[in-house]
Amino acid sequence: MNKDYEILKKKYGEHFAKLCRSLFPSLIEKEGQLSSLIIEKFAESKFLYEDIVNNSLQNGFKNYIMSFVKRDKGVSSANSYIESPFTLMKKAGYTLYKCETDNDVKSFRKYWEAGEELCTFWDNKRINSHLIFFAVKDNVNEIKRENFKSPLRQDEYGTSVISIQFTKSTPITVSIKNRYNHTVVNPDATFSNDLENIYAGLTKSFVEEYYLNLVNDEIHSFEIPGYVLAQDGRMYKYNYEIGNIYYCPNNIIIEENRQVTYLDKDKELLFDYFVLNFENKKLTRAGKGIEDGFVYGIKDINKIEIKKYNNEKTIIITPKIGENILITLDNTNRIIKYINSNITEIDDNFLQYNEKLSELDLFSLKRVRNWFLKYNKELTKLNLPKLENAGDYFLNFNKKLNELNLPNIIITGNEFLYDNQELTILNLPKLENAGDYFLNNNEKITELNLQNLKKAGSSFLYYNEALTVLNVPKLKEIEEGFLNSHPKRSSFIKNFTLKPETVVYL
Amino acid sequence: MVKLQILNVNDNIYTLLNIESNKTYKFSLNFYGLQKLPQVGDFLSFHSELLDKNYVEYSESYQFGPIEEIYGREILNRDSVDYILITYSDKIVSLKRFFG
Repeated sequence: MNKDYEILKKKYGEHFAKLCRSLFPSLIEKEGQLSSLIIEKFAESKFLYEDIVNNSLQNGFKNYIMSFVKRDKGVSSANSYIESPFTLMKKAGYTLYKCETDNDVKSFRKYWEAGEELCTFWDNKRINSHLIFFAVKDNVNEIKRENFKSPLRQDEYGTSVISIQFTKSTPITVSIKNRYNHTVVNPDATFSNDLENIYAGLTKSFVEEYYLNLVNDEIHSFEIPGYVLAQDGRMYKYNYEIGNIYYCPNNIIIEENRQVTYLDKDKELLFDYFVLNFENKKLTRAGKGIEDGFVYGIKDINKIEIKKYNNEKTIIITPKIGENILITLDNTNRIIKYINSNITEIDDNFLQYNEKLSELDLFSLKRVRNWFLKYNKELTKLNLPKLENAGDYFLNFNKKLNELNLPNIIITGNEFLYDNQELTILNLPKLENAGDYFLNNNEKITELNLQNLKKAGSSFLYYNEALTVLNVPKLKEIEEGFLNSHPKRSSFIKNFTLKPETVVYL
Repeated sequence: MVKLQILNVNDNIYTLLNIESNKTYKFSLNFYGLQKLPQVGDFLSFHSELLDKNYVEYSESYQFGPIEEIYGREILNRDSVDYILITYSDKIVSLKRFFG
């Protein structure tokens, strides 16, 4: 068995090793070549396979790796004959034209149906900023628009006349336009903007013929969502990007200048964007940026223990005073569960950037300030039985919570659950005062009982159209935007007086 | 829509800041049919999909022009992904995404 396969399997997982074996059958035969190239370009990660496959990036990955092979191994144009783009396009069944003037460009307008014309024909300055080619299929006259009732970007009609356009300024990129234009999805990326999909060798041919330093064929062209290219030339998977700093799995931080910082695993653990130091037993916010209320809830640590269960791990923190604190992390070290019965008050920006927390239990919490879990989208279980006061932007962008019980809450700030669209059961029996944009985007609540609500700010239930029962016996006055989208708004409104300065358009 | 402040313009390369999330973006943007191009300090409001690399029509190079023109899809409402706003200091202009 070739050692390359084993090396890749160990560092990136078996599926990835198999993928490499199928994509690079000749490279893997030469001992050490493929594994060293992959290690040079990608940080060690067991997630690389699924991130490539789930994003359908097998071809891009292959081209990316092969581009280094060509360059490194010196298959130079000086020693090999490269056919011109005109010749290769002819082999692909096209006649290629290079435009020199705007009139040349406009002469191809005749191939486009009204309503599907390219913006290129309107832009009389594009010829100055782009190298513009048109390629016309040799049988173009036989291909009629009316025969294509369900257009597909790369069907016979769509690709019967194409425009290949290179930017003249760096970074040089290529865009391939088709005959349907915006009638189809992503028309400016016909053939995925990969000239190789038209004819093998076409990229190199254009590059050589027109001296293009084409980005699409170079290092920057390959991107995996959720990965960042660091200064060392390797791609790293990251959990969070905050202020141009990337917080990655495996105790890695990529700084603003893309320098890679490795935290010592024996001394520290990076999770979300926090660092837990095992030696001084302190939790801090990693990188730069505003402090996070999460840090203040974990102080005076006596003992830290980490237990692993399948793909998750739980940090068990024993404080000097109080009950154990549990923080559960997923397989990339993002916080997914947090239990802390000791804190009664939380400062601003509690887990503000966290996106993955799904369960939160803060049994003793009475007051939270602003920006509590502002960007979290995944929370489904929330236990805050003693919470009395919530600041602005509480769970502002959460979308998944469908039931919320806050039996003791009395006051909420502005934008409380602003963007939540799933909530159907809301139990806030003691709520007296809600700020502006309370449940602004919720469309699903049909019944709302807020027995003690005395004041609600503007845009309360702004987009809700489903409400049938509203029981707010103590609410006498409403403000602008109340149930603004509801078809029976006027029948709801008649039970209230409008706040004096409020203008309501019925 | 996501409101983005223009931090820098270099030729047609725009550096944009999402003030809410503090994320910065860099796009090649071409605007057609405008009397005045958006400048540093002005705001662009994009549908969030245009900023999402997983969006099927995501690009690092966008072009926008008048809504009534034929070089993009018809805008049926303000929730359309192709619909954008430019907020100048004294006025707001709406445009749509052009293709081709």
